[in-house]
Amino acid sequence: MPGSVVTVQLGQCGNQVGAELFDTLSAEIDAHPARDRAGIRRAFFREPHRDEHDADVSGASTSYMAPVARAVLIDMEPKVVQSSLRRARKTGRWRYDGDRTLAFQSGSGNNWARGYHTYGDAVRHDVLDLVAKEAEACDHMGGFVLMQSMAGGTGAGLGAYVADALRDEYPTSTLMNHCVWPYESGEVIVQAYNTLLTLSSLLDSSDGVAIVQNEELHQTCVKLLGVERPTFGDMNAVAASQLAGVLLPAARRDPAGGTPGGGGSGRGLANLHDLSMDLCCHSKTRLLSLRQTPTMPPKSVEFTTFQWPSLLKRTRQMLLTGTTLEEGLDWGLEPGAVTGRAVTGRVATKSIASMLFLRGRDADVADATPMADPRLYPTWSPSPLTVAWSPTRFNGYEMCATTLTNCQTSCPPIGRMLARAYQMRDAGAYLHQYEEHGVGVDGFEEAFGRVEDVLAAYRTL
Amino acid sequence: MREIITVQVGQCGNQIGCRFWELALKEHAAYNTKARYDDALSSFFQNVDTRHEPAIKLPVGDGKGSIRALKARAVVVDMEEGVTNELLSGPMRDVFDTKQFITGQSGSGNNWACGSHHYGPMYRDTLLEAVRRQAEDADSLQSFLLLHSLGGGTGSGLGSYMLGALADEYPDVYRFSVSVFPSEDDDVVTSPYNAMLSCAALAEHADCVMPVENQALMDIVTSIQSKSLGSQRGSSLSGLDSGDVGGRAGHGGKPWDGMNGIAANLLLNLTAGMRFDGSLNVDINEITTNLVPFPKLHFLLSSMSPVAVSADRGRNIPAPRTMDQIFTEVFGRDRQLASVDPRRSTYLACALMLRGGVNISDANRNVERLRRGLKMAHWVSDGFKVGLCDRAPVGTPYSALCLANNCAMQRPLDAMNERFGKLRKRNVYLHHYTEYMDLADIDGAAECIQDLGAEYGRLDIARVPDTVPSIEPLGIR
Repeated sequence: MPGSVVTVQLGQCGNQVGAELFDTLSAEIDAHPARDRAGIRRAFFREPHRDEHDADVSGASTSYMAPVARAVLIDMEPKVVQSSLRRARKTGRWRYDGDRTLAFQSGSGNNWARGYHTYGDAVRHDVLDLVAKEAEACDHMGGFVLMQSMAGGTGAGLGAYVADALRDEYPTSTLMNHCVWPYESGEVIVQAYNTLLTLSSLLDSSDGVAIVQNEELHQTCVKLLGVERPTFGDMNAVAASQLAGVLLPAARRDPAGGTPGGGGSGRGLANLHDLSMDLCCHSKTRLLSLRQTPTMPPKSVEFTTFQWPSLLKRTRQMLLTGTTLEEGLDWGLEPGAVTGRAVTGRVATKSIASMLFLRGRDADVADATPMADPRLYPTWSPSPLTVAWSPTRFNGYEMCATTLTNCQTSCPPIGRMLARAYQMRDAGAYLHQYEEHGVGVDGFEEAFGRVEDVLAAYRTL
Repeated sequence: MREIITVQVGQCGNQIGCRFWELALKEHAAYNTKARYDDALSSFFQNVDTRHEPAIKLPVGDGKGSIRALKARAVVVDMEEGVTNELLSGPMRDVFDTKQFITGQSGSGNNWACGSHHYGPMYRDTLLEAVRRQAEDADSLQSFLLLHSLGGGTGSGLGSYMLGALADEYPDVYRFSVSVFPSEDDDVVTSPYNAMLSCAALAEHADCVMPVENQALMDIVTSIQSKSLGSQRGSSLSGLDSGDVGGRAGHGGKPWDGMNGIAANLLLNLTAGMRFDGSLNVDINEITTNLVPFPKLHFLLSSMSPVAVSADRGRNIPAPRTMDQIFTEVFGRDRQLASVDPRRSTYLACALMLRGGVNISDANRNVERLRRGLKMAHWVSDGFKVGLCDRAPVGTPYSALCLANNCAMQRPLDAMNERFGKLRKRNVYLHHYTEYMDLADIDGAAECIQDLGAEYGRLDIARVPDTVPSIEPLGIR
């Protein structure tokens, strides 16, 4: 039996992306045939109880009966959580439970150490209590998705702490982290320290760390959606669509098109457990990337003819070139192109394993074998490609392919972030602020060393 | 429910404070049209029902209660009564309560040591009691904001003392200060001593200091006035002598008003991110984390565009023509609140606090455009902190506040040191100070400022090291 997903939204970014995710999920659920909706909805929402206390919705009878997101909202400042609640209520289609929020009056101040050490212990009990309530409300709990940014103090520092705490408390549950990687031009000056400390910590506790780069979300908005000056809202919508493309129900099938076990309706629910089992079999290699195609402005959709071979060809080339941006693809790069390195400087990106989610017309028979090309994966990879499908169209597209891949894509930005962190550390900059909250020189060295380990592991693919 | 307590000390601090409260009320009035006492308003103001004695405090609750009477979360300190009396009889009198006032009669005689070492201990309990009353009414106190000048005796001396006392009593509450540095031609003869001593106290006890220089503010006011005059007369700026601003009382009021308005505006822009919603909030403690790479180097140069708001006494402020222009302006020389040119020195860190219709793409585009013209320390090539707040200052579509930790800070510190050295060498006025404190402490303060200037200087010329040590992969453990 498929399980429900409990999300934990941490910090301003996590709360913004989380709200966007539930918006997308709720809209997509409505796109499913009526007879399936209730079942699918149960994975992400619970039904409201009449006696449930929610001061925010008193009097508003329609939103009162709206399904309640299986989410816990955490931020160190109340403004963000409040505006998430308001935003959800305004949709009238779903809402958050005001009793599943935790806000404090003082932020972590962009200091990972402060978020992790100083606030972590202080809020552990409350966080676990809220999560337990939400988990108990599931008939069958499929796992956790934590949403956070890696640059700041709350999403990053407290987020890493919460991931550790959940791992302790729920040792066998699947824990996936959806992490927003900051603009490299800088949103937070100490982001090099914060991202690496977060990464190093999550590698211990998480079953899979999906890294979503702001830079690529930004480019996706500009180049594919035609948004000239993307806001965080625009970018979060892209990120939410990618994640929903993975989380929404889909049934397994063979890459060539057959359905194992004979005949499926494509209406089974994906299980978070599968994600971790199929993709992240080794503790050092748990970096995931999300890709989705097509991405285009709504008004272009009706003038576009979709065909599975071209969508999958693009997906495969994105994977090969290590980009999550479906634009300006380097079509000259071939799988296994290592020999050409000296000439072109281009190296094909290797993946450990991929999950491919096909949604829409003919998703059950589309030929996904190009994605199963053994040259994309190391020879030892146990199950390089998993394909799942659903007949329901996604995001208004007749056909849509989403991939969640364990691959080298995030390694170059991590490498650049490390180089910056080494520079800052060498100059002695900001160290006193982290020291004050329990991350000293040793703490940094250990974190950097672990991240180096991970990069080394991916290099050997 | 995240409060800031303002501590305004001395004549200058109180004048800035007075303008600040006026503008803060105007800003909230503009955005709080239903007259509800909400979270945003509670940062700076308490809501009380004054029909009762003592007045009943009305908490924020669900943010829908109506405003009764707003009281500033402030402690007003001066050792003479002139300015504070003006406050109590001025248009802002209703936002204060006499219990918030701590005044002496005889002043500190422009003597830091008298303010700090004499009045400090003498008024310690009274001061802390006034602070405690405010702190008790706060739900979650975020920060103290000290408004003072460094040149005189009370703001500088007693202000320094207060900062130390607050650090003792409230170690977890951030201490920010807007400190008016004396100009070169300051008419207080002892100002070199006062500035030096209080600056050393700021280095020791403050979390962030935003230096403001009278001359820089004066230049800004002059340029604004001449621009608005110019546009009225259709003439160029050249016909105006900037020197007679002080005398032109008929136009736009006294220059002090405009100058204090600029400093007050700095405070509003600084705190907008914690008061109002935005897509990238900046809490006051994020400023300290991001902008202070090394202990004590917490002097932040500030610049703004637009530099004042039109809510400021109906003055017609020339608004920037385009959004990109606000970014260009805050990195320029003319919009600096201290007389420095940060473009010629190294940026150690920089925060852009944007308000109004500016989004993350606009911020990144402009940072990308402007950073090539800036010297960034080699270890922070990405050294920008960005904040986005939905609410622009009243009457403007957007605004930018730039806070920079920049090695140009070396110049005012060195100048301070030099002016101090001239007096110290000849031991003039020194006995006024040694009456209250040890000579060794005075020289210790000078040494502290010297070191601080030297440290900024060292960082300014620091080169990229040939190799930066990295860490080997730990391997399987």
